[in-house]
Amino acid sequence: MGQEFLAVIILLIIAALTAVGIVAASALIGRRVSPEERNIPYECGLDPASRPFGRFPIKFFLVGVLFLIFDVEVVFLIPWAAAFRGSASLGNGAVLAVELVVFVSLLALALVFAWARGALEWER
Amino acid sequence: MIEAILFYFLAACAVVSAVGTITRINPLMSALWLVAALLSLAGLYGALAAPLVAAIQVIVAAGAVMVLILFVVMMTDRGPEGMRPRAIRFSKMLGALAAAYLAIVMIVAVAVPPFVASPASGGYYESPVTLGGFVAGKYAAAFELAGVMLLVAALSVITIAKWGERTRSDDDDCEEALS
Amino acid sequence: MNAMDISIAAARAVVIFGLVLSLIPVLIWMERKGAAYIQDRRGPNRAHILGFRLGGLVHMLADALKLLTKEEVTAAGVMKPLVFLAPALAFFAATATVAAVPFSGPISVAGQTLTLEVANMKAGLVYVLAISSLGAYALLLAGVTSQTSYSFLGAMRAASQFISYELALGMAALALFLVAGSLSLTDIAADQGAVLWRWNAFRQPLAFLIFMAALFAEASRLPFDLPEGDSEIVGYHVEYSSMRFAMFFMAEYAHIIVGSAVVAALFFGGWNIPFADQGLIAANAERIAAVAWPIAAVVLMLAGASIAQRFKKRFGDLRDYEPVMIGLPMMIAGVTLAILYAPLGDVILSTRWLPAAVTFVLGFTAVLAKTLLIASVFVWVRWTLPRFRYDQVMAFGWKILLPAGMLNLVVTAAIMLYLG
Repeated sequence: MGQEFLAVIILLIIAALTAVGIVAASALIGRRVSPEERNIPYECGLDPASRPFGRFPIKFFLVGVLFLIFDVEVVFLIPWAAAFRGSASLGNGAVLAVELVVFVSLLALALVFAWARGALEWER
Repeated sequence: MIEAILFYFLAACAVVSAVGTITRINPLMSALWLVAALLSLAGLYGALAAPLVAAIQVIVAAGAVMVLILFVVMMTDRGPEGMRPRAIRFSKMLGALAAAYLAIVMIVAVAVPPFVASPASGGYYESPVTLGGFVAGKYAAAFELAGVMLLVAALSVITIAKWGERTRSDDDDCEEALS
Repeated sequence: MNAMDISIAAARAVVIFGLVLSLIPVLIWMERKGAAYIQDRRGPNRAHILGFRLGGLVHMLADALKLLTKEEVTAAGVMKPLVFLAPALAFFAATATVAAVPFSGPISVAGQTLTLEVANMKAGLVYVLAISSLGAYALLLAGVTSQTSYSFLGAMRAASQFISYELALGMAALALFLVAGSLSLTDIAADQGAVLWRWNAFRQPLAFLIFMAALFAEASRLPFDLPEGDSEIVGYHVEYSSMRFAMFFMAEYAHIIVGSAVVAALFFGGWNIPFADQGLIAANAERIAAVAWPIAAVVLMLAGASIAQRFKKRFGDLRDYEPVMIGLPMMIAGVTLAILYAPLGDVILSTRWLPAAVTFVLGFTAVLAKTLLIASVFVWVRWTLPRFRYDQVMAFGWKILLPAGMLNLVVTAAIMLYLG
């Protein structure tokens, strides 16, 4: 573990402390005169008629799953992309490029399927 | 010294948040504790000089999988009555068995000789470029198979999510004609 | 690891974090003045401390104080710790990304190579993507803990948009990894060098456009500001008030600053100045300093004079004397510089650390100028473009940016293979 890793840790700690500190300062400094009615969650001035959770459009879930799949694709490609230039200079570039084309076209196929089945359409 | 402090701190975080994960009744809180556990694991990877693995842990486990799980938790929440602890039959017995198994595995892993105390610094996982060389070279087949797996996952999830849409299409047509 | 290492590490972290934190009010000021300029009005210009208005910059301080002292309304039935966690997390995710960004080129001082950055991480850009992906939790938590359907819907929409554009961001970054052969922002910036057409904005124009568009969406800026769309949509932060509410917007501005710095490093060569590489600057440091010194003196004198002559009785209080109070010291400083040139010039121009100092100052200025220039594009776009509809946003992310990113990756690999 070097000095740089330590610097990153310190930065993370500073950032977290600042974030929490500002929120806490706001909670401590702010004045408090809240009447009861103001503490009702916002619903256009009416008494809340609904709970937030419950049945919800499936398209948000679909976006989440598709995001997961393509995010894993990007993550798989990260080490590959880092190695490409070095391998290309050693003459292995063609092999890696073929790997890339196969991998990306598999995922492109998934995207085409999602597109064709309307998983990317929001208004449906 | 600092390494030791960091390790014990992160390990404690991981254990505490893992306990939080399994003891919270509210699934939302449970999921959030799991995020904390995964992040402390990422910190441990970072302390082991594997920056790329740590970053990928955050991107995939914390950034993608857990976001999806949060989505699901939010969409399936059934209010206060859905927040009672649910006991499967024999759950205590099964839990005790699983705990005993884990304990045995851990004791064996530490006691039996080929136990790697701590990974040597300067390993292949330290440099993304060398790691990439493995992904693109020695393990290229696994790399492509992962692509196939992702494709299958995408196909099946879309098929399931869009199941039954065909049968409803008549109604949709009517609505479109009306609007 | 000794005390020296620890203090250097702490100094790096504190300096860089302080830089980002102090740029936030500057960017908010730029935003308000830019809006005023585009809408043909004056913008903030009244608040003052002892007569110093600093062109309206004092307003940002006044705003911060006002927001801090406002009442915090916490709706009944919300999950208290999570309500506090969400804005803190948004701010954390936006500012902690700065760890990988280089703010100056490598400078060799006393046999050591130093760079103004927190760490030259081998996985720098992946670290940036990882930390910024935690921003999705801030959105979700803010919306879900508020216990209203409106904020919940807003959070789902915001999070869906956020994660969709994260893909495009990653895809654009992959092409840069390919070109530079490294994941480190410092390496990618160094790889571009001082030749203008080797900058990634020209080598990777498609990746640049994708990255910028995705960055706009990630920071939820117009034309993708549906998560917060002030005028028509009830967003994930309806239940937030006072500084807790403002934290989300501080996070947005921090996101823009860090994002602009990342774009400056990735696509505009970071600290590199076109056609003047670090070696050239270091070799000619004495000449540069010798020319810059008198120019600085003259500029200070002229600028001070032009500010001071704007003195006029307008407000009837201390603010009237601001031009004089700023202009005269500038003129005096300019004259002092000019006078000092004769006795001190030779001494300073021949010191050993001059090349390092000149390269550092020029590199840091270049990074800062590029960052603020890119950030001003965010302001410019915000006040000139209308907002997308939600289905358009999602379609743009999934049907245009993602396939374009994949295509760009394959084409880049093919071109690199062809060129050898």
